[in-house]
Amino acid sequence: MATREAGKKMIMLKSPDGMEFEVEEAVAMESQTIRKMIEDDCADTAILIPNINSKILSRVIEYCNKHVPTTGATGAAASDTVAPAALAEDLKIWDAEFIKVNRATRFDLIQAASYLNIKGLLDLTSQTTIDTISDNSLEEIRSFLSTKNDYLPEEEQTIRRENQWAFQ
Amino acid sequence: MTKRNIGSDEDLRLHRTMVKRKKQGLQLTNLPTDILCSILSQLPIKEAVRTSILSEQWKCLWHHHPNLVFTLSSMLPIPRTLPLTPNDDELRKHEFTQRVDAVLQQHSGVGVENVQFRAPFEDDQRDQINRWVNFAIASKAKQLIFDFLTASPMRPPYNFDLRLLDDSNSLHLRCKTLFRFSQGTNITDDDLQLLVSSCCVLELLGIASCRMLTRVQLSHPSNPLKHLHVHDCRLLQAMELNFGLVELEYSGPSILLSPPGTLLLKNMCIELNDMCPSLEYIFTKLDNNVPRLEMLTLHCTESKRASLPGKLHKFSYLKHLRLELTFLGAPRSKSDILDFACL
Repeated sequence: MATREAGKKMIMLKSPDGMEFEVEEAVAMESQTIRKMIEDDCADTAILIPNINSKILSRVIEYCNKHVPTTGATGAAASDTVAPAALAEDLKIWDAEFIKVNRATRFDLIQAASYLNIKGLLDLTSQTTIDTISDNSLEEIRSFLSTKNDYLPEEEQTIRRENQWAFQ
Repeated sequence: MTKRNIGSDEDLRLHRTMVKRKKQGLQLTNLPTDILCSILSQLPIKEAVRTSILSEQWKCLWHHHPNLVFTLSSMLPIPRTLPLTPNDDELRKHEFTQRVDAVLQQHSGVGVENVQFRAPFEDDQRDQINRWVNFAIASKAKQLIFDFLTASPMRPPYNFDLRLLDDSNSLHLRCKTLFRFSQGTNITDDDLQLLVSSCCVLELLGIASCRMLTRVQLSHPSNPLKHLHVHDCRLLQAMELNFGLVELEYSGPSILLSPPGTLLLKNMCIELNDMCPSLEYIFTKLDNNVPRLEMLTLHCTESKRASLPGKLHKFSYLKHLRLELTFLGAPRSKSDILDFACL
């Protein structure tokens, strides 16, 4: 185990604003996009992640670090002593804490998770939006999404008429 | 042309408003359409349709919704008074049909993954339902579930017309996951045979309450079926299973399972509703054709002590065994718990 620990392959991730993050390959491969790059040998020692600034990228890495399957030396020791259910519960609490960010950051995280193809993160970050859409009034949804109603009154009437049942 | 003074007050003001606007624009962070679509796809169809009123950008997003799940509770409000009068019932069905029709008419038919219809329908609505089935087939959905419960036992249930799945249509039928019929459909042995042979990529088949069915034949060698769920088909006598089957869920009378040879079957969950002792069933009806079985769950009623054949075969791969037994009958006829030691 110790040799594996020492021999862990590291990958450099670069954000467009010039920051560099050195992460374990296994952590980077939580992103299916990066995994594909590595598997196809398209990744050198450094991978430029376009469109994701360092602030968001560091948070994404933080998420991947926490969620990478614990097979490493330290991880194995932890999962041997802690029951899987407790571990899952712990992750859930961590996730809930992680997602306490403002709306703009959350939307940035959604886009990053989508681009990097990290399903767990995408589900986590989209959930608030899904909940908001299903539980709130139209005005509340609009304000949450910062969307303006740009329909003409008669257009809105038509749409309401077509699917009247959904607005009841 | 006069050169503009960049540092003028007016320009500064202009610059400031632009920055302000830009900042606001950043805050707006409108998510790209594909992400909105993926978020939308996780909402029930009613909520998805509702989003069309948000703005122009949202108008058509739901037209590609991949999960078309139509149930009474998702499409209609909860009735205020119960029980419903037959008249109310008719009205609700009419309303349901109209809503489903409206959704299907506006839907693009593209990108559908999952189509489910679960509602009480009788044979007099066969035209509408056939239309929906045709939509579902044409959409190339991966999962199709038809669950037409009958509201009243006095009326004929919707009879699934398997001709809808005939040659021309079955070319489109790429449904991989689930095909489920339930509640009193009049599917016959031949119908089922036709269905299985025309759905050439079907991996999971579920059948419930098909009262005409006597035999399930899946033994064709190229049959890709992996999961089979059969529930409450009262007249069923035997099932001929296919080689590649991995999981079997069954409830109903104790029937004979006749595989064409040794099966790859790994997981079995069986619930018998007649008085067949579990051990007798395991050793006589299951036969020794499932050597690779890893999980066996059996719900049985033990009414008498099982009479076991002399030579018992072994399940060498069995990892999990779960027996849920109900003991019935006079103490004398009670089964002996030590009998189970042979497992």
